[in-house]
Parts: sequence; structure tokens; C-alpha cells
Amino acid sequence: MIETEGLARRFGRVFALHPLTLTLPAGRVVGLLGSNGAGKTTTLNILATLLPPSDGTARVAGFDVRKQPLDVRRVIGLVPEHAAVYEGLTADEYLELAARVRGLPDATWRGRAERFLAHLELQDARTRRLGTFSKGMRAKVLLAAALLHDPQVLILDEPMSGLDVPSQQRLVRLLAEFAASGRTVLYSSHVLEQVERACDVLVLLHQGNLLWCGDVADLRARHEGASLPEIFLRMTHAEAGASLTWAQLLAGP
Amino acid sequence: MRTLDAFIRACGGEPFRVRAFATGLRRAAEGRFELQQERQGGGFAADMLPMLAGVMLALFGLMLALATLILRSRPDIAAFAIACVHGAFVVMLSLALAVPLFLGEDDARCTGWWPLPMRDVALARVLVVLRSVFGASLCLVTLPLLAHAVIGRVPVVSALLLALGLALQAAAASLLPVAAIAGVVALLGRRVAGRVLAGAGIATLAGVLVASALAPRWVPSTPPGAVPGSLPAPPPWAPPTWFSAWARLGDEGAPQLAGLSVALALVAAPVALRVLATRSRGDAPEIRHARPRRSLLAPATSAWLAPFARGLEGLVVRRLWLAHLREDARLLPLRWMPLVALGGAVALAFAPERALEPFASASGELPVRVAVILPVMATLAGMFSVLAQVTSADHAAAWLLAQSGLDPSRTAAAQRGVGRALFLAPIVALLALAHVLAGTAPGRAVADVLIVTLVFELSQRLFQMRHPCWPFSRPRGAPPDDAVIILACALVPLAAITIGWMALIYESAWWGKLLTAAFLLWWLRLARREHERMLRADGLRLEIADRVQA
Repeated sequence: MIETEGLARRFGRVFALHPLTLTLPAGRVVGLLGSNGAGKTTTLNILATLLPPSDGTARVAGFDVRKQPLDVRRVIGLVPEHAAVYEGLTADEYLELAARVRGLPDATWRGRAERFLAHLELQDARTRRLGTFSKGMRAKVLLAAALLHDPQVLILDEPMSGLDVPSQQRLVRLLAEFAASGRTVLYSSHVLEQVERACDVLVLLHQGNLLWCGDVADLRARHEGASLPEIFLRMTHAEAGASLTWAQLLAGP
Repeated sequence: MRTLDAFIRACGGEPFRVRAFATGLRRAAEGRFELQQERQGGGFAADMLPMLAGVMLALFGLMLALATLILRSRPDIAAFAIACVHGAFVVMLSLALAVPLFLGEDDARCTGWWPLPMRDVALARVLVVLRSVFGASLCLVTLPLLAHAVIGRVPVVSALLLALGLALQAAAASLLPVAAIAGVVALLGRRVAGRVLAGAGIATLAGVLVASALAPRWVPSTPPGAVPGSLPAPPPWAPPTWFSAWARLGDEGAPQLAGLSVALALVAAPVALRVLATRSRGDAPEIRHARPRRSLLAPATSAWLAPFARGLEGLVVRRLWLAHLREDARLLPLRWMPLVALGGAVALAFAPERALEPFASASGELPVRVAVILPVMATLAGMFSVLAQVTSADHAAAWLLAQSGLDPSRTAAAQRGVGRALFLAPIVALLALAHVLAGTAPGRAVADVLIVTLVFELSQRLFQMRHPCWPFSRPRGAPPDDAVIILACALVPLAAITIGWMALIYESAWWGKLLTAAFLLWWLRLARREHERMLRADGLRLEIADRVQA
């Protein structure tokens, strides 16, 4: 469903993403993991056609991100981490706009919007303007807008940020069902416990390089059943206990 | 609807998508206004605003209708005058609406990942502009057209044909500037286009200022070959003549001029739109990652602002200004203000007193128009100085200021100081230079500088009282509230009239300037006392606190 071949991105002289080659199959929830600056958001932005690659190719659901960006956008659903919304629109109006610019028939999007809002517990707030919504509520509306056109690939950047615990559990279940219907979810997060719970395939990036791409179970077996945070620290050579103490930070070592 | 769809298709867009997006943009703008109202409580209802604007335009149209009736012996000149005013209004309105739509980043932030071709996005924005322009145009020209129905060469028919000409003009005069902006953005990208358009705007302003000051030198008292006192025919090279030619189709050469108007409106505008929309190649918009560039003007601006905004608060406000000057295309013209002021000073000082000068002074010193124009400029500059530092795309970052323990009163004072550096100093320099060149007595020059300074300070105070918020802490695109609209629509012209009247008084009597200065000083003291009391009691507002209501 998602294929990259030598995909790279430079910002000036800095490599945000070194040549990346991977294949992510359909029907899986793929977790994209990495420290700050590992290249996660760069990868997501390239796959979502928000950022052109400096080198290499990427295909999403068969469409080339460089040559067919509009076709890629039609088949993906994206929830960016720092997405803005039209604050003057109500949740209903925002979903209507999202559906209409994608050319969805009225009968189709109205029913779906109603069910999505109900499922995400926003039915009472649907006529409120988005400017009055909390961060979590906005994330739910963005998620509903991303799912409205029944995408082939769902790309989520820190989707749990701002969601309460019941909503998080509901989202995990929804993603599993979405993937089970033959679609792909690409899920980026810093929170390893969430990724462990939601994903069955992992892509681990470190300083723009690919460290691992494969099943979570295989990764754990290779590391003798260690937890994901332990494996992550081991693979990225980050030493959790090596930092300075509070007193040293204030006064110097 | 079919005509609209055909127009969208002719420009290469997808009608269903374009109409949906345009409707969404319009609803979002209306909703944002209502949201602002809910937060502030009270004020005009959102649907009252277009009505209010329509009434004000109709009042302006009434003045134009009266002028039309006065010119009843020359209906061709009356039609030309209507077309001139209408054309200028449409160009200005469409530019005012299109610049934030095409240069703002709201759409890109909200829909940057949607499958919307750039062409459809551009066309949706054009539709939003056209809808507003046609509504406003109708309010403006209805009364003048009724007046023209009475005075036209063929009563009623002339007015109906002129209405057709004005509709063509509304289409051409709104589409061409919008297409030009869309083209510049497509060619250069949003950031560079913002800088280029800001530069073009300030150059136009300077050009208009210089040209209006020098106009008396160019315009002869009586056009060659004309009977003294008679009005010349409308110039055939001016586009308003082509659109007004519809009102006199029976005259020699008028059908050809009317044909030019059709060519301009029905051919040039859609072709320009199509060509410029094609520049975007139908690609999806992408996030542009521009590499930060070192600005040569930043150190100079910083050094210039330093003496005007001192202390910790001054440092903070200066840093914020510099950051916004670097990123915000709206503020870039401020850097060129001194150059504009210099050009204006030279033009004003050298412009001769001629028959076109409405306030011709017999004193032989500085023309009275300088004493009238500059306080009006100071009023507007004080208003813009405050309003320019209210909104920002990074408004949410203002929590840092609110949490940092800065003194609200000193912060407001630093903002006023920056306003003095950017606005008042060039105006005072302009005035002083004009006085030196005119050889005015020092006492009179000092009195003029004092009055301009007091007007500016008062204007800044009043607008700061209206917007008691931390610098750059309101969201960009937050619509002006009703009080600002009232101030802009009523107070500014009122101030201009008052100042004009006072200028006339103090030019003719020695006590005029004294009276004016005393009045302004008294008003400023009152405003200052009330403003300081407000700041002590309530501090400065941070609007992001009530933006999220879970």
C-alpha cells in the first residue's frame, strides 16, 4: 500500500531523512517511531504530499507522491499534529466542507458525519463553532474529516494528543477495524505504550535513518521479550541515566 | 448558477468544488465574526454589518447623485464621474479583500492536505471577492443611476445602459487586480509575493501623494481650445470613459469605446484569470520551507527603535516588532514610511498655490493644506500604529508575555514609543522640512509640530484604550469589533473635519493654534488619566485564555 525507494529529504545541508526504502502492506496498523528530529514528520509530510522529496520515490495506494499529488490526497486521510481548523465553522459545517470539496454525494456524507460525530461523542457539540472546541475535540473533528471519504490509507501524527482515555481506547479499536478492512494506518507518536497497544508493525527511525521495519512481535522476540521503551533505548543508544542532576544543571557540573 | 459554473469552467476550475469551497470560506468568515462577538459580548449582529456598510455606501452614492444632478447640463461628464468613482472603489475593495485571502496562510493551514488544486482554491477566493464587490457596487451606484435616469440624453434608457457599463466595469476592475495578485503569488510564492505587493502598495501611495501635490502645476487653468469655464470631454484613453460610453451610445465614437469596455471585461479578465490560474499547474499546494535570510534592514530598524522604547518592556516590544516585521507582509510598508514621508514633504513644499488649491493661503507661507493633511495623517497613523501591533498569526505565543511579569503600563508605553519611531517621527520630519523649505517663522512651525504630535498621541491613547491587550495577542483575521468600525467610519472623518476647520481658524487668527493645542492637550490629559486607571485596574488582556472552552 505504501512503498518508498531511496526516499530522502534535505533541508540545506542537513539530511532530515536519509535514503529510505520500505514497503508497508495493506491491512496493518504501522507505528512510526523515533526520537525528536528522527524524521517522522518529514516522512509523513512527504507521503501526504505536503513536502516534496529531495530524492527517491514514494507511492501511496499506487500513486506517485511527486507526480500524482492530488490522486494521493484523494486516497489518504490525514490528521496532522498541528492542523488548524476554520474556527468560525461549526463541526457540522466543517465536515460538510471537507466532504463537498472531495465531491462526496450528500446522502453519503450526511449519514457518515452523523455516525462519526456520535461515535466520537461530539453529537452535542456539532452545532458549536470550532473556535470554542478543546484540543481533544478538534482532534476528533479532524479525525472524522479524515475518515469521511473512506480513505485507503490513514496517516495520523500524534493522534492521541489531547484525547481522554475512553476516546483513546475507542480510537485504538477503530484503527484495528479500519486496518482489518484491508486498509493501512500509518501512526506516528512519541508515546511508546500507545504505539505498542495500537500497532502491529513498527518503523523505527533514528536521526533520519531506518533502524527497523517489521512486526512488533518479531522485534520483541529478537530482544528477548523486552518492553518497547527498553528496546527503543537500546536501539537508539540513548542512555536514560546519563543526564546531569538538577543541581548540576543549575550550577554546572 | 449555470452562468457561474460556465465562468468557473472557462477558467479551468471544477464548479462543484469551487462553489463548495467559496461557500465554506464565506461561512467561516461570518462564523469568526460571530465567535468574536460571543467572546466580547454585545455589539452589532453579524448580519447587521453588511447592512450598515450598505447604508454608508448608499450615503456616499447620494453625494454622487447630487453631483450628477449638478452636472445635468453635461450628462457625459456625470456618467464619467460615476464610472471614475465606481472604478476606483471597486479596485480598492477587491484589493483589500483579495490581499489577505491570497497572502494569508489560513487556508493552507486549514486545508493544505485536502485534494484541492491551487486553481480551484484561487477561483473560490475570486468568487468570495466578486460577491462582496458586486453587492457593494450595487449599494454605491443605485442612487447615482436614478439621478442619471433623469438627466440622461435619452432618459431612463441612458441609465439602463450605464448600469450595464458599470456591471462590466465591476467585473473587470475586480477581476484584473485579483488576477494580478493571484499571478504574483503563483509566480513568486506567498512570502516573496507579500514583500513585492507591500512594496508596490507603498510605491503607489507615494506616487499618489506626489502626483496629487504636483497636480496644480500640471493642470492648466483652461484646457487649450476650450471656452473658458467649460468642462473638457472625458479623455478617450481612460478606461472609465469606455464604461461610461454606454450612457451616450448615440454620440460619435461612443460605440467603439463601449466595445473596448466589453473587450476588457468579457475577454481580458477571464483570459487573465485562466492564464494566471494555469501558472499553478493544477498541483496541490505544499508547505514551503523557506530558509531564513539575514535582513539588512533589521539592525538599522532595531537601532532606530531603541531610543523610543526603553527598559525591559521596551526591549521586549522591540524584539516582537522586529520578529513581526521580518515575517508579516502587512507590516513591511512601515519600514518605507520615512521614504514616503520624505517624498511627500518635497512634493508638498514645492507644489505651487493654484486655482485648484481649496484652502489657498494669502500668507505666502506654508500652504494650509499641509496643516490640514498632516494632522489627518497623524490621526490615521496613531490608529494604525496601535492596530498593527494587535493581531498576529502567532497570537497564541503571547501567553509568554502575560506570564512574564512585565508591567502593563510600561508595555503600553513601549508600544506607543515604537509607534512614535515608525509613524510620528517621519511625519514630524516631513512637516519640519516643508516649513524650512517654505521659510515659515519658527514660532508657527513649532506650533504645527506640537499640534501634529498631540493629535498622534491622542489617537494612540484612544485606540490603546479600545484594545487593552498584550502586543500581537489577538488572532489574525479577528474581525474588527463594532467600536472600531464606528471609530473608523465616524471618528476619523469627524477628526479630519474638525482639524480642517481648526487649521482654517489658526491660519486666519493668531489664537487659532493656541486654542487647538489647548483643546488637544486637555483631551490628551483626560485620556491619559483614564487609560492609566484602566491599566492599573485590569492590566492588559490575553484573549487566548478564553479561546478554548472545553
